[in-house]
Order: sequence, then C-alpha cells, then structure tokens
Amino acid sequence: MALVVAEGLGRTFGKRPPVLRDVRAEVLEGEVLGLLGPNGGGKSTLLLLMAGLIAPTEGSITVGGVNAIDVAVEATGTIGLITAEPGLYPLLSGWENLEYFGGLFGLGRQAVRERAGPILAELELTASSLDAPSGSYSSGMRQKVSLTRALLLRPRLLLLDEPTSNLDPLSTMTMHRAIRRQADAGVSVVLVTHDLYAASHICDRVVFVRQTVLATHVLDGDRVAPEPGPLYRLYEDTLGARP
Amino acid sequence: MIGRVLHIARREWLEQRRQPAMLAVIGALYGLVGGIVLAALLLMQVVAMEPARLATLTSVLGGAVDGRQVVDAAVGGTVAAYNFLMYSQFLGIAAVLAGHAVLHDRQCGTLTFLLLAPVRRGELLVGKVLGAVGPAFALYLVISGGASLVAASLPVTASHYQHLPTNPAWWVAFLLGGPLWAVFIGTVCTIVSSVAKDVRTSQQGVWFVVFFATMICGFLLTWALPYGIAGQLAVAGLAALGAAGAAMVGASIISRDVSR
Repeated sequence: MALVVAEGLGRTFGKRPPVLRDVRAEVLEGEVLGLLGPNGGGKSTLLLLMAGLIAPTEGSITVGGVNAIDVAVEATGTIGLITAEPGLYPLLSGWENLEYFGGLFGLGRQAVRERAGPILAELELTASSLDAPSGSYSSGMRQKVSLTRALLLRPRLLLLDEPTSNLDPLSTMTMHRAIRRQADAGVSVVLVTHDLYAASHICDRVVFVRQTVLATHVLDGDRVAPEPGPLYRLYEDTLGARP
Repeated sequence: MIGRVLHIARREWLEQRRQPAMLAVIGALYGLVGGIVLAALLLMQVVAMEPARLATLTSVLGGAVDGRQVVDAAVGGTVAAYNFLMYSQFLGIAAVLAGHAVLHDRQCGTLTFLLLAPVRRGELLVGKVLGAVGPAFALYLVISGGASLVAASLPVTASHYQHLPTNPAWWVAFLLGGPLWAVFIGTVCTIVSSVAKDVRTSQQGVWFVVFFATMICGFLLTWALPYGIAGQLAVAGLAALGAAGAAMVGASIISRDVSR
C-alpha cells in the first residue's frame, strides 16, 4: 500500500526553469525507495516536497492520504528527516540537542532518554558519548545523532538526503543496517543517494529522477543486510576496533 | 504555547551561556559606560561639595556664570545622556543578538527540523527574540540598573531625580519600556535575519535597523521621563503595539518554504 503518492507534481523557483515537472511516484509502506539522479536533477527538492517543507507549484503530493504540507503543519512526527547537514547546535551536547527537538514534540527528558537508548545502541553509540558538545563530534557521529532524532518520534516516513555522504565505511554500514531495519519494521524510507552500491543493497526500488521520474526499477538484491566484500572485511578487521 | 516559546528561548539562553566571552563583552560594555558616567558624576560632586572649588570654577568661567549652575547643568546632561546610552546600548545589543537568531539556525542546518516540529511561526519568532534579549536584559538589569541606583544615591544628582530611579517613571521605562522596545527591535531584526540569504546581508540589514531604532528609541525613552508614569506607559504601549505587529508580520514572513 502506498504511503506517499505524487501526482503531476512540479516545482518551480521564481522565473527559473522548473526543477521538477509532472512527477508521478509512490512510496510503499515498509520499503526503501532510492532516488537516483544527477546533481541538480531535483531529488532533494522532491524530498522536501515529501516532507511538506516546500509547496508544489503544480500537482499534488500526499502522505497517508493527507496533503504533505498539512502533514508537516500538523507536525505529529509522522515524518522523520535527515539531511546531508546533520542540523545540530554545535555548542549543545548530543543529549541537549535530542532533548530540545524531542521537547518541541512534547517529549520530556526521561522519554527522550528512554526512546533514544535502543536507537543509540543500534547505531553503536554509547549514552555517555553524547555528553560532549556536538560540534566536537565526527561527521559519522553527527549523522547518527541526527538519525536518532528522526527516529525518536517513531515516524511512518523516513526521508534521508545523502545521509552517509561524508561517513567512513563502518559508520556507513551501521547507518544502512539501521535504515534497513526501520523499513523491515514497516517504516517507509526514501533515500536520496549517489552511492549505487548502497542503493543496490538497501533499496527495494529505485527511481531515476532528472526533472521528472524517468524510470522506476525494482531491485532483487538482498533485503536484509548488505554482504560486505573482502575489502570491507579487511577494513573492519584493521580499523574496526575504535579507540 | 508559552511552554513552547520558553522551550525555544531556553535553548538560546543555554547556547549563550556556552559563550561566556560574549556575555563578558556585553557586561563590559554596560559596565564601561556606567563606570565612566559614575566617575564623571563623582568628579562633579567633588567640585560641587567644595565652595572653594566652585568659586574657582566661577572665576575660570570669567565670573559670568555661577560655577554651581554649570556643575548642575553638567550633572543634568550626564544623567540624561546616561539614560540615552543605557537604552540605546541595551536595544542595540539585543537587536544584534536577535539579528543572528534565525540565521544561526540556517547555518547550523537546524531550521529545517524546527519547521518540521509542531511550533507555530509566531511561537518560533517570539521564542527566538526572548532567547536573544534574555541574557542582555539580565546584564542590563544588574549592571545598568546598579549604576543608575548608585548615581541616584549621589547628593549631586538630587535635583535631577526625573532621570534617575528616584522617579517612578524611570522604573517604568527601565523595567517595561526598555525591554518592550528591545523586544520590538529584536523582532524586526529576527525577521531581517530570517529573510537574509547570508551573514553579510543579515548584518547590513540589522545594522541599518540598529542605527536608527536605537537612536529613536533611546531618545524617546529618555525624552518622556519628565512626563511621568503616564508618559512612559504611552511609550511602552507604543513598543508593545510595534512588537505585536512585527510578530504577526514576522510569523507570516518566516515561511515554511525552506528553499528560499
């Protein structure tokens, strides 16, 4: 069943040529849908339209049968988002960031800690590592905290815009496993990526986007977890033990 | 609603607390101006309390003007100038801090996540403004208020009570008018920062607002002191109306559309 439905969707900024036009696409429940395409092809714009953060200039997009903009306005936590920029306050600790954003959704400090615990464990982070200012974190850790924030609200739709673009292979693999598990638990995931290796392993379907949806492809790959190759294993054996 | 506004403001305060150097600079600015004014008043008091010094001053001025009158006029000018400086300083600092509030969220990449949260644009704006104004207000309360109380306790300022805490209207201006004008100007600067595309544009806009707004508001708050509580309430009411109007306009300007 489709959670997100885009029909005749288009978006133009000012008097420039349309970034997207006549997009017809669906995101099914519990799938990872990859958005592939060149830079400037409209993938991130499509993601923002799904998030309801920008309005379409033509057509419509719904999440769970409700206009995406209205879903965003209602802000019930239906949508979780990760952007290439982790979006954390650098002077605040990871916990303070999580408590701040959780608090905006009415989650108290205790609730944030309880919900975050299992997510952090899955992402191979310790609770105490989030006590330091987030500005001191590595790119991978910032993205993991960002993913934790997105998952705190137990979203039905998880939108990921190049979440692993600056991460090392181990962090990337951890993130991919966590993303895949979310989809297996019924969350719909949309992944914008240039990483075809990642897309081929964790996506159920991919759509090729350049101004519009050019093609959709169903992947027959392993849906559970990517099988690391020998180089990955060597990398993990050599560098896996974190200091 | 109030809970969400305070939640947003508290985060701003927390971040400002993590920048003690910035708070020290603000405190030093308040302290410097207050210190210079108090030093000047003490000097004038030393002259005014000694008839021999007053006589010397009178003779230095050629005997055409009474030295006591000259000192009194200088004291009056100093306390009036201090009020103007105190307000324009507070308003300017609050405006500059507010002028970076939304821009900071854009730079950190957090604005997108704020816009996905169940927060009305008005709540976000008010929370940001309160967060920006709060620490500057606390320092203004302690340092500028303390300097004013000391100034009021000096015998040489007795005849200029209208511009000092001995005048109830001064308290209205200090505790109500000044903060409300700071909120008004802070709101305008927050809006400027939210529509600015980069730091430079934001700074240009904010400084434009700061220059004129602090001059006008500082003058207005000081000028209305002799008109008593009613006069100050009118000035504060004007600020409250402006702040409410700016918040309403700002709420619609801080668009959900993050692509701008």
